[in-house]
Amino acid sequence: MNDDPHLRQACQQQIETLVQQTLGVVSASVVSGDGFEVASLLRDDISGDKLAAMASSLLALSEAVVQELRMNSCRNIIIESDRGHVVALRIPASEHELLLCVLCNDSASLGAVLFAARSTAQDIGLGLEQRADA
Amino acid sequence: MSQEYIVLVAGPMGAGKTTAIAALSEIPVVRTEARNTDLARHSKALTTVALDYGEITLSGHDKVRLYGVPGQDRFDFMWKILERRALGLMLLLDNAAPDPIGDLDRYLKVFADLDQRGAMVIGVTRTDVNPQPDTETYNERLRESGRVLPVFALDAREPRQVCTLLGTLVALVEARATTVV
Repeated sequence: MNDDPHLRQACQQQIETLVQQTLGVVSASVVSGDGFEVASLLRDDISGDKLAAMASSLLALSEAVVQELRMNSCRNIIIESDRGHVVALRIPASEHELLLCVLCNDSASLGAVLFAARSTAQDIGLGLEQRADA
Repeated sequence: MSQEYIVLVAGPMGAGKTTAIAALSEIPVVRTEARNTDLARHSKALTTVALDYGEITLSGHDKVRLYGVPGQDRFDFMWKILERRALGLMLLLDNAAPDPIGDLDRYLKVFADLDQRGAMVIGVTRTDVNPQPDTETYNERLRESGRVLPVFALDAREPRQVCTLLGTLVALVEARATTVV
């Protein structure tokens, strides 16, 4: 899957749209469930490989917590920091295990970022389903 | 008086860390597995991406909390986070991997802190698939690097064998606790 150029390209386009159209979103990355980067648009000082591994760990750990607490399913994770937020969530695509990770600064509205992130994840998922059916 | 210990289970991908913790744990193991897309590195279907968590009560009522880390280097931030909590390290090495002795060297270096302040034991898995290197080769390598550590060949699926390894580690941790003033 990591060697699928069409997948990478589709994800890259979606990420670029997300970053361009959402105020305050500075970086975004699509990552495999086991922590490999599939596509990204990142600030210069960010290591995409490290972020990919960390995002996969965070999501898996959060899901384990939600399961342990019997709170059904984990919708997303949100890290609030001094300089903005990190949002990560799963991309609904049955064939692939993919995650979306979004970084935004203080000028962003968290609600808007969550909405945009979910929409992007959904669009990526739909695109994958369509390609799988084709 | 019963004690509580935190033990780290580390080692390369496919060595049997998740399996060993599952064999030991009294509680359902908390797992964080994802589909493995790095099939070139290892053919297994699932891989740990954050940690495994299990618990076991030993015969003396001592409780052990087991933390298993992911095998791949890209998760080494998890190794650092969990190393801090642990009193001992159960290092599992896969004898059927391309360079198990190289793996030993690498992990001794990575976990030098824990090695120094805590205790360590080494479990070598899949010796049925590949009998070489043998235990003596591991011991020799350890001697060369100035270390004396218990090395066991074991099947990570077998609770009794993994428990023996854990029991040895706990005994070493206790011995350390009584010698350090």
